[in-house]
Amino acid sequence: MKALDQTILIDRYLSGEASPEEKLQVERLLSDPELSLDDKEAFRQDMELQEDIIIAIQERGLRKMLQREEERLRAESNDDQPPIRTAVRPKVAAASRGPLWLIRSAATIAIAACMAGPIVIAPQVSRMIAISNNSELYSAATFEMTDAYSQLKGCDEPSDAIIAATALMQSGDYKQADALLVDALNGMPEVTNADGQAWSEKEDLLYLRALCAIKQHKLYRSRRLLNEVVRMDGLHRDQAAELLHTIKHGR
Amino acid sequence: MQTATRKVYQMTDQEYIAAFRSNDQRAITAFYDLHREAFCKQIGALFRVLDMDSLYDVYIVTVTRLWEFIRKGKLTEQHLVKPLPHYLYGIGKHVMQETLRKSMVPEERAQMYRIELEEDLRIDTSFVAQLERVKRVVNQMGEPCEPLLTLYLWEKQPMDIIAFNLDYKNADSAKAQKYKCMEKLKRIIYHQL
Repeated sequence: MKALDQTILIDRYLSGEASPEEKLQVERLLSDPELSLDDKEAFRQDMELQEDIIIAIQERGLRKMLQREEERLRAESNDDQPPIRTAVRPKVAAASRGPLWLIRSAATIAIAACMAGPIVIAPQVSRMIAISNNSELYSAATFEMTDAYSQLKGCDEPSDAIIAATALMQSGDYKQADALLVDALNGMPEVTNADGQAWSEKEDLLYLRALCAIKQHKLYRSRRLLNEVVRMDGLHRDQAAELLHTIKHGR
Repeated sequence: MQTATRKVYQMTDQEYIAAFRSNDQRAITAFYDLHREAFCKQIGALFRVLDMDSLYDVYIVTVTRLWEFIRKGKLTEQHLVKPLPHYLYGIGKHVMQETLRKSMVPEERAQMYRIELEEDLRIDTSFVAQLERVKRVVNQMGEPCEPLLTLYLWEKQPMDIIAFNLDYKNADSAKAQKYKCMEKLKRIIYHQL
């Protein structure tokens, strides 16, 4: 058999596309007593090599996929950085090529940001940490989202993502719960408040994400998510508004 | 979508092995995400490595190697005597050792305690050397073989779509090119042996 024909035969066999005759031919080449041991061994090695080539190509694809996933996860964790950095950075970049007043304004922003840290941000962070230690809030929220869901909303069972996320939250794995909620939110189509259940489910997912963010002490993320829940004007509006007020101004 | 999300995060070890074997990209990614933080914390603490970037790189290699063991049939549902993460951490320890050994001077390297993966996890590793040789050749492959074989074997795209995207006349000419690429790779590897 010509080398290319053998490659085609093995490829069809390994990919499951071989016809019954081709399968028989492969089995014969592997175990026919009329063939010499060397021929059979050579065919077996050829087949193993071809399988290794397939694995090596797939391994390249897998590695690239995992590298992309790693980049995504790192970018996501970078999103948690305070937005003040991104606000100052373009100014500084512009200052490096612009006139003197731009440098001054960049410096002013930087000084203001440094002062804002202890004066504005630090009290908010400590208030958020105090909220995050309130275990009643979390058990109430996760209970509400699962067990009492149908009575509260008068609708079907909560979504799988909510069940899984609340279970993770109850076990204290807020990071994983948040990843699950992000995934579920990304998978949701665009909804409006006319969409009823989908709208309310989106609000649940955002509210749970806000609770995860508080527990992970992510000030900016929690404030952004709570604001979003308040804007949605749904079932969690009052709780979200209260939490937001407590973070910003204390009780 | 949400059912699928829950499923990939709550699969059993046996289901993950089946998903690795069939290259279920969604399930593999979910497995990767699930164990990433704990793996890096544990391996980092064990080897006193604080650089998270290196730990994430080690984690990528570890998951890839776990996939190789499963794809080669050396780790199957029947082989599992401990939970799948046990194998992940076992492989991870060896990958980390290899990484550290590469950065050491020869004297330090000689003194470093080393357990063979085969003894540690009871997995047959005899295929690794040949697969590494094949990987070296495959990693050097360029146009037209690289995109064609990746799209077909990893992305699992149908031949007619590949032919359209890569400007082949039709699915048959793309398929003929695929066989030629495979034959060429085999020739190069045989030549190097």
